[in-house]
Amino acid sequence: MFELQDEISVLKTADLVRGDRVRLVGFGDTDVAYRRRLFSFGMTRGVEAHVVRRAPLGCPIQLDIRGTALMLRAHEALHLEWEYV
Amino acid sequence: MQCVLVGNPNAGKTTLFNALTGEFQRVGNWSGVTVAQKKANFSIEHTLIELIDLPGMYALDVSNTERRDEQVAADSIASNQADCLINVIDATQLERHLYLTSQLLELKRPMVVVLTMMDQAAKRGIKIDTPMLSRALGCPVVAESQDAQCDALKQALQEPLQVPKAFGLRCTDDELTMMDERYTAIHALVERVEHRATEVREQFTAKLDRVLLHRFWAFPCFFAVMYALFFVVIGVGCFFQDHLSVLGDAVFVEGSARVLQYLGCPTGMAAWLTNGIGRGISTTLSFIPVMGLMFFLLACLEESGYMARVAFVMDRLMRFLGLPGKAFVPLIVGFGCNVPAVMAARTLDSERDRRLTILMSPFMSCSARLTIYTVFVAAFFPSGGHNIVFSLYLLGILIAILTGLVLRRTVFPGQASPLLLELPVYHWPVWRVLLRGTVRKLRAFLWRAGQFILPVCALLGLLQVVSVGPNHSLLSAFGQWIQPLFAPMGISPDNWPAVVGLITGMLAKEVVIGSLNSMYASMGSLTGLAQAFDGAVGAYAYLLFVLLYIPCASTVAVIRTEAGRRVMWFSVLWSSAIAYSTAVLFYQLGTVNQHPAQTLIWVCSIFLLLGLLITSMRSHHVSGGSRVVTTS
Repeated sequence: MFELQDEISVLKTADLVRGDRVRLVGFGDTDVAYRRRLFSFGMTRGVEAHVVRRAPLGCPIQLDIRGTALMLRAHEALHLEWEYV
Repeated sequence: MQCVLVGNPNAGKTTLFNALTGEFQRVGNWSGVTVAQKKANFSIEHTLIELIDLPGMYALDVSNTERRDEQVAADSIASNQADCLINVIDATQLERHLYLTSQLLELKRPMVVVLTMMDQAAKRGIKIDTPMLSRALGCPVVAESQDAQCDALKQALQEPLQVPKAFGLRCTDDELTMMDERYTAIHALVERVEHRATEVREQFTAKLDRVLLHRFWAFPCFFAVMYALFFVVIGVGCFFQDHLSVLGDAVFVEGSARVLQYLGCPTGMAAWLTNGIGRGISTTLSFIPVMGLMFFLLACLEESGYMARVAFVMDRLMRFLGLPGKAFVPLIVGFGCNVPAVMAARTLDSERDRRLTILMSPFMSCSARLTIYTVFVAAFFPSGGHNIVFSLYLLGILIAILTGLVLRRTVFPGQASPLLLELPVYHWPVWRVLLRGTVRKLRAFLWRAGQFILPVCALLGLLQVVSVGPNHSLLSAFGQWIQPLFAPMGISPDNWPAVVGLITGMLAKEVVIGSLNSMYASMGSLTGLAQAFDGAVGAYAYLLFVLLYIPCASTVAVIRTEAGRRVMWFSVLWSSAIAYSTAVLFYQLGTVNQHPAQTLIWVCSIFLLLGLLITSMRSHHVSGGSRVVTTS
């Protein structure tokens, strides 16, 4: 029962909607090269992000992370796990 | 003393480099403008300092699979024994940029930290305690604004240099834990030195992005910007070009003819000098307004930060080609000139993306080709000329997309590299820098164009004066000899100058108009041109060929240095085949009423040819593995 609830509260990148304020809780199966690039943009565990917008065709997503406007593609960041702040 | 500028992409290294050395390197408001290291000297109080500007990088420990320009930078820091590292940090993004800094500290080399964009930071309500940061890093920290004189930095360099102290990080083998550790330490430091106003004022960038990146308005805005660009360049630029060319002809052709006649110059010699060299100079000079406007407006787009938005807006569309949205930037630069476009492809993440972009970018109609369009438009399409030119630009893009699709299915299979890109804050362009940049590019263009146009015009003039029979010059003989090859695209036997123009255009596309002008001179330039082609259809077919065929000599040379000989030959062959097919198809379909059977034969054979070519490319990949892909 507890596990089920835990899964429900975890958001995937594709679920993010404009205006969401979320926190990065895990990297899941994100591959190492991509994870390194995420790190270098300040995306560490626990970082807070504001979903600024999606591009006109739905992808990429613009996130505000530590004052930086960062864009990433939902299908590449699919393993990232988020939770609402 | 030797100093090296190190910092993240778009931190303002090149701006600082220019401010210190007085050089005018290309500065753009997006990541990856500097793709190879640059050196220059300057002196402070009689101390000569050699300054090296490196491409931007996010971290020192880049793996082999990552960006090539980052690799260049990381390698040169490892091998270089500079006396001092100058770490450039964008004050608005302190935390992210400190990651590289924390790695630089561990090199135990003398270091000075420069905080740039301090005015931007102040506007955004960010205050940085520089003395405290300096104490924490154990090295001098100086702050600079966007249009700075760098006095503080010069002062810091004169004082005895200090070896900074590294963060005391626990060493672990696990790379990811190490990174997490590093960021945690940085985060703690930033908490202490950076103070953000709690209620950050609604920013200009956010407001503007709300429109320019809007779900519905983003594309209309993008195309409006592009259309405005071409309307200004074609509408305004060509108006001035017409007047300048009249003036130029009056001075260099008719004027010099009078002078030579007065000096008693032999008739043949005078004809060569005025119609060859005189017309060459006049042609070159008449490009100034169009080129100047084009360079200026492109620089405005780059400098303002809109180019990075293009990557955001276009990403989904570009993924259709298997390319990142960032690849749109080299392609856009291609509208100015294909040479920097091929160079800019270096900033892409994977070898595959780079090669695809390099092969696609020559189809972007460069400003040199624009000069050809403007002359033809004046002769054949007196009204709505800018629409004709716009259609050619669109067609170039379409062919580039087609090339991308075909290549992705044949020689370059695979996925696009992951995208992570930051959107810079909009800058109001610094007009002084922009104007100087424009003048510099214009001068380089005139020099490069003049270098080709003058000798070619002189040579052609000479070839025209030398005759090999009654009414037969050497050039006319050669043009007539290969003319039948171009007959299917509507070039009649009388119109051999058009063929010669294409040959000379392989050197540099600017030359086409120069040589056409000197060859049609006997018929009175524009009217001669207007009569030579088979009306608007013939002229448009010719323009299509000019748009698509072999990139100019400089572009071919850069493709070779960037991607290897195989890719270069492939580019030459592919573009010739595409140009010929497109021009023939257009002409044959445009004149279908006059000869339906002939049209049918040509259309069929063109499709057969293309089919064969693409099939052979596919089998090339399957049988030869990645022959094209793996050349170094």
